[in-house]
Amino acid sequence: MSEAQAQMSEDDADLAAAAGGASIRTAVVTTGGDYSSPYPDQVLENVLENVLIFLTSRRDRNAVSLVCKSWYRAEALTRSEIYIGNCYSVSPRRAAERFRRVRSVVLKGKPRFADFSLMPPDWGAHFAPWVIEMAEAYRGLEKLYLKRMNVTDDDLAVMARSFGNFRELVLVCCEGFGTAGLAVVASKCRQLRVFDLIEAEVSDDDEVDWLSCFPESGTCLESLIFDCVEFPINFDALENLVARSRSLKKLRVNRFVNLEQLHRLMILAPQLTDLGTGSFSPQDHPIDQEPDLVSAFTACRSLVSLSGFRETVPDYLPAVYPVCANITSLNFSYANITADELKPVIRNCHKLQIFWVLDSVRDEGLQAVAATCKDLRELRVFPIDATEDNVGPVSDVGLQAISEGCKKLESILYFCQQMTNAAVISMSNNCPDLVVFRLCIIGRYRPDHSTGEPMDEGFGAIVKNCKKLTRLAVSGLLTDKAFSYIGQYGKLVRTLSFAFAGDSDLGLKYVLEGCSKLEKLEIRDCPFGDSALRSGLHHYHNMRFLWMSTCRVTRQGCREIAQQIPRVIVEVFRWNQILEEGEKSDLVDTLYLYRSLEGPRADAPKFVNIL
Amino acid sequence: MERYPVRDINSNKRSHETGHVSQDKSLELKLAPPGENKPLISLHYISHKSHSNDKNKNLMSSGTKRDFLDTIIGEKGRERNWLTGSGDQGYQSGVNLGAPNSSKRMDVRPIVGWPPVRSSRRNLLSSSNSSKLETDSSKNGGKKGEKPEITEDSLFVKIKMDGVPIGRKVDLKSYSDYDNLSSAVDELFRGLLAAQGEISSSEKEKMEKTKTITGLLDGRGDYTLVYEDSEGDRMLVGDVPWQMFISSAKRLRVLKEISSSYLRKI
Repeated sequence: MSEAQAQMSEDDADLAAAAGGASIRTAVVTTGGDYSSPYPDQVLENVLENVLIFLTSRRDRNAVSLVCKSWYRAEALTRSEIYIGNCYSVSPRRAAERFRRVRSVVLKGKPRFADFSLMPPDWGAHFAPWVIEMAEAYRGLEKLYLKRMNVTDDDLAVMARSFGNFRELVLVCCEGFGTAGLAVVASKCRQLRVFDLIEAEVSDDDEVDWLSCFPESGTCLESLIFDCVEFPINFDALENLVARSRSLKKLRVNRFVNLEQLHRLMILAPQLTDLGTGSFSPQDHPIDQEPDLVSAFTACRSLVSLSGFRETVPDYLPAVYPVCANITSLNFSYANITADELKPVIRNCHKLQIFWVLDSVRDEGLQAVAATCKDLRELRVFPIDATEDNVGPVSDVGLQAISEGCKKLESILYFCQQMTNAAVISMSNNCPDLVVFRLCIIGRYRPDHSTGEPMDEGFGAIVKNCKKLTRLAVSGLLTDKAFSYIGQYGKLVRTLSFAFAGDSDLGLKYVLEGCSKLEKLEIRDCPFGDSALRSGLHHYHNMRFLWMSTCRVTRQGCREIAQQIPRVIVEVFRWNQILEEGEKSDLVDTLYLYRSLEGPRADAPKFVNIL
Repeated sequence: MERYPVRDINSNKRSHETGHVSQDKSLELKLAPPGENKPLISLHYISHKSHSNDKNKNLMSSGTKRDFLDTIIGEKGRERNWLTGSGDQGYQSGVNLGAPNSSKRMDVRPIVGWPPVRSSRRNLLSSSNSSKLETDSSKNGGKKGEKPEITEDSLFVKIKMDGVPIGRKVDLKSYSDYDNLSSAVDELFRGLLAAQGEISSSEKEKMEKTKTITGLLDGRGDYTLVYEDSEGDRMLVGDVPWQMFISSAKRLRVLKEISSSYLRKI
């Protein structure tokens, strides 16, 4: 026991102390002769608790908790991070009662389609009830990761006040807060190491200079990310902050930091491993001579991740050459650059594993990527012009090239205007490690542009050949056949995304009956109706959620589902309240269905009907 | 009800010439009660697509599209269904041409949320090489701009109090006069002031103990209520008739001290 304790890292020492406290119980020994003595159980529990400390995977822990009551208890006591994939699946009180010694919380709210304006803004996912519960139950909370939650300034204030040892705050795709909330966190959370705002919507109503609010004497900051903030910041305060944050490793500034300012920051922090470059363009009227960016980049010997480039002036791109050979992650997805501007950079990036780029680089740019980045694991190609068109700058040619050059590819998100089955099949054969395949042909109902056929065979090949696939998003002209392939071969698939696809209810039936591991299903504008909905009755309690918008499900159909499965909440709602007079359509606009241990939520706005 | 020009899908030349424009136009059209014009506009939207290099392939390979078109023209009775099914609800519905039995909803407006690209990634064409250091003009300006949120029944304005880091919003229309407003402000901030820097949950007790915030309007109390009017000037609350105040107040502020220098600041 003591050996195990000695081997534990500092972080676990606290937990060991907590578990060690339980061993005091063994001192309570009942008198001999009592065969139902709790003594042996307690020994087992203590042993178990000390072993379980090493178990971090939540899925494994879930399995452990099902063995028996004793294991359930032991697991609950030793779980230090709780992951709640849907904030409405369980109430804060219930979570806090089961898991009492939590240091880290991951909480997710709205479903992904909310990012694309498919959900009304005041639908819910409020952080408030959670922070109020945690303020009492989890005084020792250190880390908070929130995704797609509505977080107010008040919530941040409660958080800052309540958790004395708070260390990490990561807000992804959250909204509802502003500079005032950020200021409270900066000033009150003295142990803060991570302060990350990722794709969050921050309001500037209060115009508080939050960067000035960090502790004067020095901070423990290791990561400061605010590249999504869409208003100017106080640069002097930022510079001062970087100067007094000697542990800073990750810094991603927003587009209101120009090249000259970036240079000043880099000089102060050559130890950075992750840099977000802000606008990457010079100020309007440069006074001094151009800053020596090349030296600044050369000095950053530890840099492995580069992003930003929000308003890139390509002339300055060569400044990054010194770090290309070392970087494993490069995000050019805001940089409107051509193939010729990309090539000199990318041809040095031999170690690149993650690459995000705009399709302005064209198929030619992707070919250059394929030629150099043999270790590429994740590729995302975003459209610079998101309108439907017949031809686009990237196509099956680029995809084919990537499939041939980047055989270790695990995750791809690819926007294009046209595609062929051949290229997709080729990728399925060349990249067997694919875990995530998301192809978005922007033109809806587009067939294979060389054969005129639906894209069924391409996606079929992906599910058939990529044995590790867990996430799939489809597009283009697709018949029910594509869905039959998915149902037949997609046995490990957990997340599916369908839009403008399929012929009939059969399509959805194939999927609901075939994909036994399905957890998240998001559908829009597909001709699936009540009959298809019914075919998933056996499975909905195993899923995190089902989203169907602008399909053919009726209110009655949804009601039936709600009545037949307990512990599943069925929400239906419309975007716009105004119904045309005399409208008799029973078709439901949006259906959002999720499993939950609680009853219907109390905070649903008026336009949401819970059946 | 809007009238829009009828386009003849068989007139290749005309459609071809006005290809782009007509697509834009068809995207701009508002839905009107069913009329014989409607189907033709929708058809034109489709036929624009067909005027690409793959025109023949498109029409031949998606025979179902053809059936669908026939169905649209043929079944006038059903038009109301797909028109009203989604029309006035906003942009959610999509053009579903896949199968004859599919949803008859059609909307020639741009499809909401398609392609699935987050708003921060849109408009990159225009903004990428434009002015780099925009300030106010670049604000999201979305839901929570500096302007008060006005609906028929409410007028929410921001109110901030010295010493309380986080502002609040009050609905001016829910108060009938200045006294109402003053006591509401008192209630709103009393608890917050008491809770400043406190971790314990004995806030209720504190609220009762704290004295009320009085004298907001007459300069006698510790705090004074001021507002920013439509011209950006800072004014003392209570000088003008209530209705005039409501119509011109943009934001409110509760100041700890009152001095003449705070007034008339722009």
